[in-house]
Amino acid sequence: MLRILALFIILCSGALKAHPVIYKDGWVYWGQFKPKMNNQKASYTFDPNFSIEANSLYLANIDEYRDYKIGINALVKRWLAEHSQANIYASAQAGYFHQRDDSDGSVLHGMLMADWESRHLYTAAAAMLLYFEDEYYPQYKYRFGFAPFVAGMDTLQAWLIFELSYFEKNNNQLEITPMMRFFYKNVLWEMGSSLKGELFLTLMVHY
Amino acid sequence: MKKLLLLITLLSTSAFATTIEVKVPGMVCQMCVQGMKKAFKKYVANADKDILVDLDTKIVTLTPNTEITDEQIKSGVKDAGYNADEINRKK
Repeated sequence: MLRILALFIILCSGALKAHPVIYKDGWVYWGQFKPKMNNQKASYTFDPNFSIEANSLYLANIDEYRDYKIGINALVKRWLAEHSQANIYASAQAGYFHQRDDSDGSVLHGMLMADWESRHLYTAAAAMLLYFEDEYYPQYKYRFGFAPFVAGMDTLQAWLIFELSYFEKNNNQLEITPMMRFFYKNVLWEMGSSLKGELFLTLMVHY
Repeated sequence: MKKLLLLITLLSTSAFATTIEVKVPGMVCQMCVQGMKKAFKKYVANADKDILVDLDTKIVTLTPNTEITDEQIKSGVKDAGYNADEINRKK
């Protein structure tokens, strides 16, 4: 049960961040912090369609689980309309995990994500697959958000977002997480709580 | 000779004293703004003042301090992840 819970947290933690690929020569730091967990990533977009990423995950409650992964993110397709855009992204990562009881091994992670956004609405869906000690763990996430107001260049933009997450290994349980997202210049942060009361903070900086 | 030099100086100055408006459909967020600043900062003196992105009209306004060709503009917009629809130069 603990392993399933750990995998659920792992999958949730890195999912549906804002664009995995940004602009050429763009760097991203992304971190998510919960009371007993943190997940941090750094990526570099070396081409408008590709980025490389390194990340680390720490889970205090699950035998001091820690992993280190590297991988590549791809912008598979982008559609640009006058006032909106849609994207399909793919991601593949590989790494190493270690736990307090000295168990360790390799971990693989893949993701396919699609999003659509305008200045007023945002929606995204992702399917993820983790391969961990000879087992596959699929998970699905969906987000819908709206902007209560529309901000201009270099002014604070706020979003109200609802996230649905489904992981069949977690007793087919659907998780609902409302959150607020703020975006000011090159800094994005999200604050929210699952309906179970777990608070979290996400911070992302582009430069 | 002096007149020739003066003429060249005036022509070269007027060539840079241009505001360029680039229509870029699909820009919807602050990250688009950052991408445009990253792509064009080498052509301007002050990225915050000389690169303006209007997310309502989808127009990027550049005030370069050096010569910049249409191809360079298209390439910069592409590096930011978008496509340039129209390029208009205003004296």
